[in-house]
Amino acid sequence: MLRYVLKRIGYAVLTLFFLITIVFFMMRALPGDPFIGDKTPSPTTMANMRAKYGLDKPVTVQYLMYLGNVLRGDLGTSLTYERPVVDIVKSAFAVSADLGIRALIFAVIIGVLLGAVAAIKRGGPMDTFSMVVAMIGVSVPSFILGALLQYFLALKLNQAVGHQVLAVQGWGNFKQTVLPAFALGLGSLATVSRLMRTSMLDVLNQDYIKTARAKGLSRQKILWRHAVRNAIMPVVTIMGPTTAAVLTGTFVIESIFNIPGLGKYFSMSVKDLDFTMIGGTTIFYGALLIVCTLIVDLLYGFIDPRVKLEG
Amino acid sequence: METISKERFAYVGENAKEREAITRPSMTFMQDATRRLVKNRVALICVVLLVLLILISLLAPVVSPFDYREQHYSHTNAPMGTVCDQPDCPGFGHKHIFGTDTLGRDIFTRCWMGGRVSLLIAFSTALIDFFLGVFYGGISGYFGGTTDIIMMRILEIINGIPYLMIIILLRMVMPGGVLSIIVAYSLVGWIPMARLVRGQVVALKQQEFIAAAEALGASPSRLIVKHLLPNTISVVIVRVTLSIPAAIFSEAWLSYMGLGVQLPLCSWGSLAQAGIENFRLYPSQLLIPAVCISLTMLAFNLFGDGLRDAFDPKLRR
Amino acid sequence: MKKRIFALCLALVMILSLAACGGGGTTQPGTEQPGTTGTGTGTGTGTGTGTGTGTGTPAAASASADAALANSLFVNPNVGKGMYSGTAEPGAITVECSTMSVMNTIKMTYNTELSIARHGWDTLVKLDAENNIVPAAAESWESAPNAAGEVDMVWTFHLRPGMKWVDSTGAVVGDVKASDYVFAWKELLNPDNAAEYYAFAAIFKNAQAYYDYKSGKEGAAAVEWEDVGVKALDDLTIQFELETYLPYLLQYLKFEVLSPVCEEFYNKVGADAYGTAPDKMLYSGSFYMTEWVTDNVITMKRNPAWWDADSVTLQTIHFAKYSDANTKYNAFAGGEIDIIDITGEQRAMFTGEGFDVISYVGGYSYYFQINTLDGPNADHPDATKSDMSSKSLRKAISYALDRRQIIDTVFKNDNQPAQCFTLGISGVNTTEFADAVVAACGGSLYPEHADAAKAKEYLAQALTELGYTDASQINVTLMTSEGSQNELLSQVVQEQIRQTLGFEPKIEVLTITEARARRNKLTYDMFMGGWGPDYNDPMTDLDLWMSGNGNNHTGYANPAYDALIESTKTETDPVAREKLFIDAEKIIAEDQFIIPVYWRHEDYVASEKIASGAVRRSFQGYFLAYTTLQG
Repeated sequence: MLRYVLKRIGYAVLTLFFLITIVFFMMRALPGDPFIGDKTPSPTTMANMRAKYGLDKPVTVQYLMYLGNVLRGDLGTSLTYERPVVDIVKSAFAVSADLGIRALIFAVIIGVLLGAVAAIKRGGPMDTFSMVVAMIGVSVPSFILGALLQYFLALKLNQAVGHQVLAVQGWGNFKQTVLPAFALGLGSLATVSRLMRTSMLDVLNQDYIKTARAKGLSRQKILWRHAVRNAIMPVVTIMGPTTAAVLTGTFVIESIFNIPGLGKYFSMSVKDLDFTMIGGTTIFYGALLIVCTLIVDLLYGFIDPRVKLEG
Repeated sequence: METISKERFAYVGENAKEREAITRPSMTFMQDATRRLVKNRVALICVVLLVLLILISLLAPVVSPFDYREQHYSHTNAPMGTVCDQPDCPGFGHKHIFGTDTLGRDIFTRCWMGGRVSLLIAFSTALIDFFLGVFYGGISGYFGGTTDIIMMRILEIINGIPYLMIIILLRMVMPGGVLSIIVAYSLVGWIPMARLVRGQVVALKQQEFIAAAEALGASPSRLIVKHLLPNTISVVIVRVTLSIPAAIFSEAWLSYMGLGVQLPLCSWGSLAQAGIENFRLYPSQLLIPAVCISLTMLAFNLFGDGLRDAFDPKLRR
Repeated sequence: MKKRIFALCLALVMILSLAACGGGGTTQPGTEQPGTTGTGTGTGTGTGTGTGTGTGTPAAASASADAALANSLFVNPNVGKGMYSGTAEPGAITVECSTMSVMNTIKMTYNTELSIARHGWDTLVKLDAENNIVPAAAESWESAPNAAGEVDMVWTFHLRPGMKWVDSTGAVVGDVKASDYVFAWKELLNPDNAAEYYAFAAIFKNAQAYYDYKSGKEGAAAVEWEDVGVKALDDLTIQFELETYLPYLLQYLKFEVLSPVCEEFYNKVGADAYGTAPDKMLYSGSFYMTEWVTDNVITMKRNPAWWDADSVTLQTIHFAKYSDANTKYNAFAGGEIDIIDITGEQRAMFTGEGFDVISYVGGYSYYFQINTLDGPNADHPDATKSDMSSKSLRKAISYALDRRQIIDTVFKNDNQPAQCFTLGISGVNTTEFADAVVAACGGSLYPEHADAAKAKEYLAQALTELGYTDASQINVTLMTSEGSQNELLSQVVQEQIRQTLGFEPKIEVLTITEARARRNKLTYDMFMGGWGPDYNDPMTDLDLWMSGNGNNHTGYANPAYDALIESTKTETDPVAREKLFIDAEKIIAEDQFIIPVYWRHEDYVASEKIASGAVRRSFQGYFLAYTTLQG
């Protein structure tokens, strides 16, 4: 077990190294120049700007310097915000993670329950209901869903009752978190409940369930001890990357609900050619992704005793 | 009580050959699956709906009196059913069935032009998704060990590269538009599928039937293709039906970022994006593409359910 | 209206009277002026050392004038309608602000950032609600000739005594000194800061040479800071000598990157950390910053230590960034924001409800910039050959555009079809310089509606110039950056060209960074550009098209045009000088290396919470200090 984890961490470091290398050289191939704005600075100023961020040196030198800085935990200064990338990522991630955890709890608990019940009562009203929820979750793009939720559940509801029930936008108090968490979670909820339903149907047909039934175990025990525990596997698989993605925020939900999260930096840094920010967010996301996948793999061993962690 | 006369029965004699004959026609896996699929009425309706959507998308822009890019300044943002009153326009006197958009373009024609683009993107990426993901995940899961670890790390690296960066770089080397969107999405879209299949295979290969097949001398490729993958099919099919909306949304998101299809071409995603901007004033501009997207999704999902039931060997009786 | 014209004229006459004043007085070398005493009093009417010739005494300086001014500001027409009540927080307003990435005044580049700076710091002079120059940190100033006898080259500014630095809690931490201004300008010229707007400090004698030398520019002569012609004579007196005569100096000095920086504090927190958080800055303006959530919200509070704090009743301003137009609208309707910029569709909704929309001209003129080159040249080694190198084709497209239709379909607001290039600049005898251009040219230089006959006439010439037989052979790509409005506009233009000229330009949507890079390399055909003035003089717009100007991405190089603009730098007669600028506008229209399309009007709505005093106009994206609230 420990050996397995250590080995995985070793691989994680290697993976991150390759990721940084690939992204570093890829972003230098992006078209455009970060220092050309609407107005073009004078050549001398451009040269000063390049020198300020060390962009005047050969790319390989920059790469080595960057690696060295990353090892020291320094992700550089953002070209757009002229502030340390670490500071920006730290404060934005706090917001994104807060929102993401709310959305995940909502999505996983409701999704697993909905999927399990739908499978147990296949063809029944719960099945239809879970189908409808999944349909809304997967068939309405988040920018439409978010805008509609905001309009009807915040603005119109508030106007109808005469005081503020849910806030339209912003971040800080509970009234502001409900709608974005719901909008963010709904997509994952749909995926989770659909996966759970199919995998549950599979499990319910397995011989060990029949055996358990033959042994005379109670229905509750069969379902929750044996069926759900086995059926949750595909959900766990998908949770690794989903967690990483949800925790780091999504551009669309953040911009609709005006939340100062991390999601925007992923997209905007690429568009603005903010090299240090691209590097910083990539490393951060990559590391988070690796950690999440590792946790998922470890969870496999706990949930499914058939899986051996090969060290 | 009615009595049955003995004459109605006759002794035919013993025929060992006939006794052993299989009277039900033998069926291959595919035949069996098809038969069960056809029996599923909901799935059939969905197939019909999808075929209809495809046919309308192909035909409507050809039949329509309006061009998808033609702008009518005399009636911009017109409601559904407005008659074109611009005498110099070839569609003069015809109805704008779905009304016009903010530049006075016929939404009916644009909606089905958008359908072409969105459906093309959806189908092609789902297909690539399916093959790449199942293949990669199957191999990685089956062989396990170092192969698995390296293959999974490669996934992590690909997943870690910002998607927008891939898109922008691709657009530099490829002509913009539908093709680059398909390629870009295909590059990253198959990763969840590969992960899922691998997870399933890892769990499945511990089971007895695999050990049995192995003992009988089945080659790895046979084991993967004939034994492991069919058993993952149910999860895979659900994932495919989910990856189709993901592909359509990915395109919509690119439209949101301004990197969608070549103007003045459109897609359901970009139409919905344009519609959301003024849905309070003209709700139909949002409703029409949104309904198209949702209908497609619904059809795919229900069809996916039918497929799952049809293909899953565990549900075969 | 009359008052406004009068005020604008006054401002110009004031500047120009200084210019017209000649000789006399003692000439002082820029660097040494011992024994100068501060004014000490608040009257600010020429109580300096008396060495100046043209004593720049504004009609009435100091606080009383500002109080009077506060009453003449914008009055909200919507008050009392009971429709949009605005935010609930007492004494506070929340306003929309698009870009607010950088708060270190030295490194600012966006208008919206400058708007925030306008509240946090006082430049030497500022603009009032009518865009007249009025005293701010300086209460009086005078000019003198330089050693060579050139007039208005040496300027002395007397700071208002008693100005304080406050920190992010509002506590007074020290006095604002003349040296803090000089220090900020020095840092502006420090290559380590790589300030984009360093040129605003390069007006001083030897400053450009100093910048070049410090930047390590090849062949730059050694110039140290001591040689630069700007000095703090004492705690309240700044004196500087200009490099070249600058008729619009005061307009320049209003620019917010010239805000002061507390030298002691800057050195304490370090150059890297300064300006990265509210507590990493000190403030001297009407408000100080208390909270800053990156790219989301900046909160400022009333500064009781500000010299005119008595006229300020507003307690708090939240500058909030929104990236989604729908959210913004919902937030406004839901009482979560007080001022938002709106789209054409939203404008229709508000006016439909009977809620007044306020429109102002920020001075932005929009035009297609065109690659006029027929291949690479020395300045643009990567340039591509464009069919747009045909002047007739450019004219054909200009006549094929229906500017009115573009505005009505894409913007649906008060935007005007462009009548000339320059917008939002005061004229000598007219409110707007543009009015003078139109009057001198006998009408708009560009058609409002498409002129198919003329367009086709030019098209025929273009075909001969290009050696084509049919319009369909013309290959033009309309490069555009992402954004729904840009994309709509491109599609309208594409369709207008297709219908009138019979060929369809391709549309290429790029990220803004890629589009800018291609624009700078001249590997494009047509690209929409917008230009807003930095200071109130036609020069801010028209020097753009001189050959070698870093922002001229058309490849246009015309010695006659260059000479014309150069001559305005020495012309001292305002009317004659304006005439030169009008001639420049004529050349633009004749050569059509840009195709002006529209003049932007910016629409916004203000909640009923705001009673009056919110200034929004060109050069002043926002000035909210004198805002008064309802109830």
